[in-house]
Amino acid sequence: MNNEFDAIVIGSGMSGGWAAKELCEKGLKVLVLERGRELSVEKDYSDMLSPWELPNLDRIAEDELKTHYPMQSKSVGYALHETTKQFWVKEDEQPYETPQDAPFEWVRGYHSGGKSLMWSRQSYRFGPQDFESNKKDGHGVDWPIRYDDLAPWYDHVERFAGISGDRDGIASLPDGVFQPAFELTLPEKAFAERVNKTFPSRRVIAARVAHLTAPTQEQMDLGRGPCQVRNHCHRGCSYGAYFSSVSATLPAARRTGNMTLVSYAIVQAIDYDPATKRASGVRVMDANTRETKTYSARLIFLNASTVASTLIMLNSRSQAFPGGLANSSGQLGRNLMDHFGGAGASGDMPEFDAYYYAGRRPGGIYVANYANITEHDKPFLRGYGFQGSSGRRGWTGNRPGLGADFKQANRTPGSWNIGISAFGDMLPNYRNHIRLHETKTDKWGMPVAVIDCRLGDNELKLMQAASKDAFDMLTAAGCVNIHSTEDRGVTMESLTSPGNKIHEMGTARMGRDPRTSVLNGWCQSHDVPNLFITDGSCMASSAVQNPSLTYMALTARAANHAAQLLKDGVL
Amino acid sequence: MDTRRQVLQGLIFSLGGAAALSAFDKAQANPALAAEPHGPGFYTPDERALVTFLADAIVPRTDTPGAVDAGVPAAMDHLHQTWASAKTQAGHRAQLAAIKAQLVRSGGLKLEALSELDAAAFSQNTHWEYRAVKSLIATVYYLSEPGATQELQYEPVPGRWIASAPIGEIGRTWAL
Repeated sequence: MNNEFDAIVIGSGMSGGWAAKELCEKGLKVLVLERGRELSVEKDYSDMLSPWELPNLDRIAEDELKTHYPMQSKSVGYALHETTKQFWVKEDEQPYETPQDAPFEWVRGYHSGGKSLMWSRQSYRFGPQDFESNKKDGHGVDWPIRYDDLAPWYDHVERFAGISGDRDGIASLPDGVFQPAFELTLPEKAFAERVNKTFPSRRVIAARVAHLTAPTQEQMDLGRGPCQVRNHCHRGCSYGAYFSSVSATLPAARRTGNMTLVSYAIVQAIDYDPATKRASGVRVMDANTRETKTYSARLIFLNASTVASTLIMLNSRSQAFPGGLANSSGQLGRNLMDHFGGAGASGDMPEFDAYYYAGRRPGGIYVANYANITEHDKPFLRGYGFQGSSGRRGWTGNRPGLGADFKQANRTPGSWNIGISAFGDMLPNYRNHIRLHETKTDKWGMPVAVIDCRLGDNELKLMQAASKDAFDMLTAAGCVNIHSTEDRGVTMESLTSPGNKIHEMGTARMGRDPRTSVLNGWCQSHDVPNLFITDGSCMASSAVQNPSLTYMALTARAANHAAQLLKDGVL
Repeated sequence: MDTRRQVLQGLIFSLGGAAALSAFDKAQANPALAAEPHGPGFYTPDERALVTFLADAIVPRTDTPGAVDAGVPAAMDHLHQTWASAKTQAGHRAQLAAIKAQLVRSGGLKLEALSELDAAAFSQNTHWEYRAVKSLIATVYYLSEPGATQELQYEPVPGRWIASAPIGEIGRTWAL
């Protein structure tokens, strides 16, 4: 294989797939380096199995779970099963460290498509206020871009990825290019109306999810079909109905004839040439053979996921950059953020028990953030959104009765139940960081990550308010048998650990000033102009929205800008 | 199975998800995924007899197959042999022993004794070992093919979302 390419994309997940697609479509010869294997729909997806075909109720053997997935069995237990375990990294084989009293749940997927295979597909734009929050309250650095800079790129990625949603007309949660939303259930509609009546500034909307409900010709040409409403998404989707790199961006890149994807290619460092002041090569070790190799290209996109990209940069030390590549600001590895939870409520709405549903909808409802947007009486900075859903309880063995009576009782579903849980905005904070372990290395000789990330007082106050709000909204909606985090109260200890929401970000932040940020407004390194980082590490703040859609838009925008710079001879 | 396969293939072709087909073939071609448990079991003959008694009494054959028809005792045996840790295995044996002791005190493996135990377990919020085993029997039954498709209902490929309709139009509880 020729080792010369126009561009190298490190990582094939949510953002790497987009970088590959956009650059290939601009005519660049692109090498995609993926540290894991290439997934196969035929071999790796188990979405066609019925419940009775799943071995042992799809449970991973307990000893195996304890050995390989002790943290993930808790944090992603909803998606970690016997038929999906191939998508999740074995923790004992890929170690990292945290302080004893500050766990960080680092969830990884090392295969083509990365975590885009396992994501929960919630897709929301950041709003204008989210690009201004750092400037307004002085935490972190000001975003070098504003909503209007990104809006056309949100359009661009939504049109291709396929996002189902309603046009809700909420200024702080802008509408996009939507395919039809999944309709709300009657209890959800009542919940939305009643919450809005009691709290006029609060809006409950249909979750916006990356599922095709009215696929375009472009989507069907890639072999994608409409969502079949099975909700087996975490087993992979053979219909390609939800967006992933595997269903969408990598096939689009591949059909240009410009993409070369190399699997088992673990990037260890990026070389820097002080003469040209450019990144000159990417050093790779084959995961199986341990053979090392250096690839070179005029342009490098780093999309290995926040922690991994940061490790690669920190491990790329040279005389010019002794603290890690492109780190003249000293901010590389700093300002680690994740969304966090620990507040929510659920309750019954038996008044709708004459109604039932059919199909297994892959989304639910969303409560747009209102804290410090339309409600300004808050004793904390920033805010929170809520995800939720409703359903009727199904069969249960936890009921009295035997024989025909027991069977008969289970033929009627239980009452409607509705619940919401909060996702909070975490302030950027220099102390929260990732660094290389001084002595420990992984089995490929790469220093392991040390992740030190703690939530602070603002996060606690914020989640305490979210907990109260969740209870109040359930009450306003007329729910009964309400269970909420108010029952026990929200404390520092009851907040979810950083990493748990799998939205880690911020360790190579964008900013206007090279002295205080790693990347400029194009996700381009201030120090090394042919290096772009467009995964979560580029984020200057977290907002409350699930961030994947923003990573996609930032990546597409950066890739088109980079391709233009190449064309213009600037790079 | 052929009917379901044909229906699925028809759907897949009409919807354009070509990749789905080969995945479905693969699922069908792998007998291990749906195989009956075999080999030496986890349960002793006494335990197996107790589990069979419980499964049959809790979920008997009526107008639809019961838990024994659905292979629930065998599936529970396989589960504990291949999934459970030593701790869970020991815990499960202890649950069965406690249930057995309770039944023996009330007259043995008889429906009357079990009715008494069941009533006590739910009215007094006790006998959690029985409630745990009852829940497991229900889980394995309702996710079995007869439990999911004959006793309750299950759609492998719903293909549409009906957010709310009169329950009479939807029918029984969804197995999933």
